Amino acid sequence: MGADDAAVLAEFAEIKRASFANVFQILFARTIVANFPKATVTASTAVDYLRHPTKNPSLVVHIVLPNSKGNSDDSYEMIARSLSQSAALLNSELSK
Amino acid sequence: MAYDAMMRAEEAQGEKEKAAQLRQQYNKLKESGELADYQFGKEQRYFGKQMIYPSEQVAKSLGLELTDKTLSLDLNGHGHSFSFPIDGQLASVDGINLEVSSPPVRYKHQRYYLDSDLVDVVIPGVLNPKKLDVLFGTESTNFRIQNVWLEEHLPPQAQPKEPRPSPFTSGQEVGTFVEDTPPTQPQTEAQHSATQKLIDAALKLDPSLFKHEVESYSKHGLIIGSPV
Repeated sequence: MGADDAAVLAEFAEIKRASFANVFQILFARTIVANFPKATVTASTAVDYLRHPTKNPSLVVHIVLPNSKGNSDDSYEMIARSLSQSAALLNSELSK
Repeated sequence: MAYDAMMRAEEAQGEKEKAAQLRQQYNKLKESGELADYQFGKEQRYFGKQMIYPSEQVAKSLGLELTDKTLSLDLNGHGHSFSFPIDGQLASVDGINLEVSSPPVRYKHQRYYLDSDLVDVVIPGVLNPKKLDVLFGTESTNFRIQNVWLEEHLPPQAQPKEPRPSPFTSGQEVGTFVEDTPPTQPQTEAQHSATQKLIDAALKLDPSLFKHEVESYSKHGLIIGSPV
């Protein structure tokens, strides 16, 4: 395989990885909204300092919870569970 | 493509000045959106650093219904909805806000074009993550999320003058932040504390999945790969 071919394959792999990352982000955001109906979730891939606005799989998810839930330890645990569930869900989708 | 071929031909003949003129012309056309490639009848147009596709073409190729509303361009189908604001960077994907870097671009004849990253990366991933393997012709059905790296700080340059300062928690790959103030306010100690609490909760919940790093930005991405 030539250097150009390797570069093309690497680019495809990066796009695919980024796509999975975006899906993960959306799944996670959905889970948060399902658990906290009044929460606002903004998933962001458009941060200037990211190497590539949508292809870089570094993700930022901004969660605003209602005041009543903001300082509850249960809320943190539930969000952590949401992250875990989202990873499991995507892994499950990929294995079908 | 034609420009590329012409520039290469001029360079091969030692006509560096002509090649430079062609490149200048090429770059000017790219900036203005006048340059497009047509492959297998499909249009891809250049607009500055963006590559864009006609929205009708995107809708047809993905089997989605396109609705051109006053304030947004909507694509619906396969149980999913995508809404891209005409003037803004907060798209809606299945009702979830998603900040994107490139809103739809209006070109001649009132036609709208969508950014290639949205079309090639975001939308297909949401519609069917597995289909990506087929598209790229590679065997990656064993791809999995193996680790989620969490980080408590955004890089310093994101702090004061950014339009969306740093109300985020960052994660090497998944940044999460919990707070109860609007996103336009700068990060506070309370927000930082909330982030740290979330990281602690995640590490306690599943140390095999969650990993923690302190400001080691860009060392890791979302770790997706075949299980060892």
